Amino acid sequence: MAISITSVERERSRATLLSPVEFKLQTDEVSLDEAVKVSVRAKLEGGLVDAFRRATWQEAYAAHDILLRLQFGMSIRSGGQLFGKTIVSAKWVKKGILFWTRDANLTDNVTNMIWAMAADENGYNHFFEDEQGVRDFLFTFTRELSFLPVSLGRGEHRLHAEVFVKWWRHTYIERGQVAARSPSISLKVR
Amino acid sequence: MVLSQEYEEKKTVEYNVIKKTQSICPECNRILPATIFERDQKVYMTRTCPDHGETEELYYGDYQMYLKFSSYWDDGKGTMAPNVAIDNCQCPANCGLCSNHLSHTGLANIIVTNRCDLTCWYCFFYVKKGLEGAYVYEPDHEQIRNMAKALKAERPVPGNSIQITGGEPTLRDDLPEIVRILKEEGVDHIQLNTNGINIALKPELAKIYRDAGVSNLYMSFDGVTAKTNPKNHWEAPYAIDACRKADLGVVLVPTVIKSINDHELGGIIDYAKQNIDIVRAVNFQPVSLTGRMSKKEREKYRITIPDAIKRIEAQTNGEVTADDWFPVPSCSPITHFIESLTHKKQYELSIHFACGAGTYVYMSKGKLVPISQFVDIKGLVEYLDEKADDLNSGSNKYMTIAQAALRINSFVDKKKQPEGLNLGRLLFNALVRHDYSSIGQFQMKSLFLGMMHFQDKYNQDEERLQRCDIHYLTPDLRIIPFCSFNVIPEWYRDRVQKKYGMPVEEWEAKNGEKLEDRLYRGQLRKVRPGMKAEAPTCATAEIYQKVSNLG
Repeated sequence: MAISITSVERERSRATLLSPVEFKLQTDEVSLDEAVKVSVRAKLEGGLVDAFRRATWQEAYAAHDILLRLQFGMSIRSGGQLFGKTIVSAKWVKKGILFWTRDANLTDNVTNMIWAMAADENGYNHFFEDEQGVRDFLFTFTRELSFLPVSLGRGEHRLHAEVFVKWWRHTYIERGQVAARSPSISLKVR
Repeated sequence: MVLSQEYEEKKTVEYNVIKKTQSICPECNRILPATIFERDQKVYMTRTCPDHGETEELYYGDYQMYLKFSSYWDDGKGTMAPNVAIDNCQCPANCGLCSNHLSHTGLANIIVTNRCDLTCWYCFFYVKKGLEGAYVYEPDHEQIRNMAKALKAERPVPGNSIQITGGEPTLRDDLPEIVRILKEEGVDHIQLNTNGINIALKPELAKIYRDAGVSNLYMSFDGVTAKTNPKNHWEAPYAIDACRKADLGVVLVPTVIKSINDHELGGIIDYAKQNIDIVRAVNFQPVSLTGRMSKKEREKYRITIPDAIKRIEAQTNGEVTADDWFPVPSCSPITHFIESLTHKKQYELSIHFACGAGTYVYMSKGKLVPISQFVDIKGLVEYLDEKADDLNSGSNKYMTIAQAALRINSFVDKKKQPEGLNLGRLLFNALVRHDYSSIGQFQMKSLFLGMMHFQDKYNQDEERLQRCDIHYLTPDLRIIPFCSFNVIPEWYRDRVQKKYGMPVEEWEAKNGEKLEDRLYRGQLRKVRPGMKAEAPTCATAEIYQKVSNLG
């Protein structure tokens, strides 16, 4: 492809942030044999999110830089930040995949033929007709987990969620990792 | 692909839209916007020509498999040395390769003759005498050498693999010389596409071709009974035996047609299993429907990759299941990892996920054990992708190699791994040390099972065409994707053969023989009343019985 990569916009100096982590318990009181259901929501903002847009897809694709892998990690912990213990954790990957689309609504097949799809943690690709849809799917997540509170034992506990997101170097962003912690909330185990 | 919410809202009552692409009108070749959609757990494509109306065609016979396979989507590096420089992408026009093509040549076909010793009714590759405008096409040595040079000039990855095809290439008496020319031009892998009949008749040819530089035979083999494989049912065992003696590997190539031979796919694998010492692979090719056909006729014969895969599961009694298959581009993470390690562009199988699929099966205690039953393929390719990202992001190469050495073994389930096989070591040697010698030993006890669904005018998807890596070399030094060359012959194949060929009558006068002189007369076939046979005992020989018993 005869595409110049001299105009690649490197947004390396701008920081990527993880928005305040929302951590919710389905109920704040459970019995010892009852599963605790939690949900965690977070969102990437800034550098990477701003850099992964149509203006940079074309140049990245020309450099055969077509796969943005985002590794997400999350753990639910009890106790303080230093001496707490992990109750349950999860890791998953989402991908942004640049491809040459032949959808006439998205491309003129001359200058703007590159589009992005997003793969969920099962690897299934999701197709969007607008750029923002791709970004929302990739950079926002809500994750639900459940666990038995046996390891916590009876009593009142303070739980919080820790989240990290990791990505690698691309034409439009340097490699990086961000982490954030939710406020603590209490859970009573009967 | 899974539908996003916005797309979900647009779905009609009839079907669920998956995505948009482009196709052609099967009547007039007009390039049209097309929609790929799911209905009743199958995937279809539809488009509407303003002149000829709507064409709807089965695209993929299983929606779940479509979802699984589409997760391996990976656009290739393309070619930096296009022969047709254009800005506006207009597939399937202007092929050659153009600046917009996304895969380098994986396998290049050279047609050395369009004469054939058979006259199969469904075949469109051979010259038919008596038809107006019938041309014999046989490029000379200089043209063949130049075509090989054009292939080797591809960048960033020079082509390195050629299939000599026809017609029937063994009708050219100078075939060994042609092979030597290709070797002189630096082509490593040369495969000979043949019906095997001449090799069955003259077994010494196998050694001659092998010595000249042919790597393997790519032999038609449509079934295990005479009814399903009238082409070379009697001759194939003799050809295979000749190859065995010459140590020339064989790939069996069944064209799969629904309602004709789709009940014998398991039998074909079983036959390959019996000849695993010399048969390296079975490459099933779901039929490409040519000529004008009604929808009803197409539905009768149309079979897609998932349909064939499911039949194989049923017909091998679950030895090879549908879950054991992966799309061709699932190999891409291996390429990415090696590229990151070596900083050199590598050979890549970046075709569209719907074009091909495959699996390796290993022979153990008389049974076929698919590689996916003892290797976590998905986990391995994810891991290699991550390590490639690490390397590209500046991680220490030697540290990454050390990590890979420790980790790769964990993707192999040693309890389920067949005895005598150490796949972890083999993978490490191949991926990290680039030592491929042990892969040869692995291949001696394994079979590659492949699927390659070439397109036709009814299911042509330009998204697939743009990613095609099986190409044709032509004397005008173009490199034309298979599904342009054969799907729109009036733009490509016929034009090339007319331009560089000669009328049948002229060829006959020049060569002092008639086209029909070289037709196969069935010397090795079962004797029927009134039929002369040179080897009448062949039909009752043990080798024949082995084949016929499978049916």
